Amino acid sequence: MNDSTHDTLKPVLGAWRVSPARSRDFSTGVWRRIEARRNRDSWAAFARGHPAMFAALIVIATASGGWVGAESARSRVAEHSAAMADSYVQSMDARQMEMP
Amino acid sequence: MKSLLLMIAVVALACASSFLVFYKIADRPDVRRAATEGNSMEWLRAEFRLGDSQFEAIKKAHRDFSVVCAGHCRDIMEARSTAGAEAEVARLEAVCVEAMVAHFRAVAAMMPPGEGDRYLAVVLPRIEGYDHTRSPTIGVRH
Repeated sequence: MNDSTHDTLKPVLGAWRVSPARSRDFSTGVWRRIEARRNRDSWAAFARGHPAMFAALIVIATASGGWVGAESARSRVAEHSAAMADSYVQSMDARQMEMP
Repeated sequence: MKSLLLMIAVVALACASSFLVFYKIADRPDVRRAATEGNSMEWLRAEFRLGDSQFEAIKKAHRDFSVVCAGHCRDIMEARSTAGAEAEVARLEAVCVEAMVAHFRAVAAMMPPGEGDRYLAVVLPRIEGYDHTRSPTIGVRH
């Protein structure tokens, strides 16, 4: 910046006065931001901050829980059913009976 | 740290809820009840989704077959108690198997479409898988 430009700007900047409009909710806004920062560690905020990870975990947990649940029920029923099938066939198999 | 623990708790809750819901959906309490009671006919009705008329017809077929079966049983027992009658025992057992297979096929034909084949796939291997060294048991109510 040369001296002539500096001389031109100097009075302009000297005369410049900033008079911002007074904000009524300035203080409220500041406190809101402080609270938001303070709450950033809350569980909901944590989840909101990691939506993809949270959604993926819920999907994986639901799918795996459902699969294990269905398989457990099926295997339990199959176990009972196999035992009943054995008894059912034995009850009609003369080779496996004893005279009273 | 607290948030992470809460997230783990929420994920575990989702997992447990899903487990319970799908367990309930896949469960067959009617089959389990019949098994717990040792009631083979109720098991048959539940397992192969028999309608009332099919169930009654199959019950009657079983009653009729039990007479035939008792005759086979008596003949086999008598032959077994006779020394040197191994060939006769084998012949009588073959007759018994033949009658059982015919009975099971007749029962399968009374079942709903698709269930008959499934029924045969359940019972026929159990006839073939008979082990002569196993102790005989009759623990099923008709």
